[in-house]
Amino acid sequence: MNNNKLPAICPSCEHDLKVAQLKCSHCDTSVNGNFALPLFLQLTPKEQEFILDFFLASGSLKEMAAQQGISYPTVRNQLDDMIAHINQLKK
Amino acid sequence: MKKILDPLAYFPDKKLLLYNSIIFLIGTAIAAWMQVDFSSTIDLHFRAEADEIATLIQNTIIVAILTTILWTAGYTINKKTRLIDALNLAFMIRIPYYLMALINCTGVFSYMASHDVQTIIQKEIPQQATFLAVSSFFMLIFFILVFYLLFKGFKTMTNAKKITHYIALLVSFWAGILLSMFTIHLIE
Repeated sequence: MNNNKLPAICPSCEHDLKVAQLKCSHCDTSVNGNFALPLFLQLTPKEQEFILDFFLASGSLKEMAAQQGISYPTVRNQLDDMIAHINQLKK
Repeated sequence: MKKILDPLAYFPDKKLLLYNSIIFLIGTAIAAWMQVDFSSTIDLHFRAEADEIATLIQNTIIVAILTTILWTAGYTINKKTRLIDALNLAFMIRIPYYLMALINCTGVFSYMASHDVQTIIQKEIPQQATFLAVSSFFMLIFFILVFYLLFKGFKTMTNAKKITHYIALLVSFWAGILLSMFTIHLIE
């Protein structure tokens, strides 16, 4: 499986990227169009990792803080910043 | 080093509170032994005679006032601000003062506090010039450290980002100075 990270931002002009083509890896069938990236994929890799860690810690910020060796307010601030970013993306 | 200069961002709150409480007791004992007079959240003077109880009461009042003003300012900015973080920050910004107190280890400053200005200018300042210059330098460093810890800790505690958040902190801190000055003066 390819581990390349999916870019969400254009490296040239820094605008949001869209999906233009989807391809079946089994029969090589291609679907062309103009599809928006799902919200989760528009987040930075660090933010995606945070969501996964949050999920794996059963939604406990305290447990996440203990696992990452940082304090509760730091994790809470990261979550607040991410909520602000997601709200901005949703607009 | 990063963790020492911003403990609120790295250490668990309860563990930090335990360490801070121990440091508070040891620090207050050092300050009392060095004949320190804390007349407000920002002041540090030396007494002619040691008064352990007065130093303990002053430092306790200062920590209580700092906790109140930091939590109030923090809560105004961010409703998720916790009292335990404000208490830990109040304890932490007192630490440089315990280090500042040590400059009276030779008793020079309490000696100066018990003598008139003319004697100090004519005799003590020329004799202790190097010591006074080095002490002043360290005092300045520790004073900068107080504000560094205050701003860093407040940022972590409240997730402050805007300039208005820091203005709120400065106004609250200034109010804390006046309130502590008034309270300590009233008690004495």
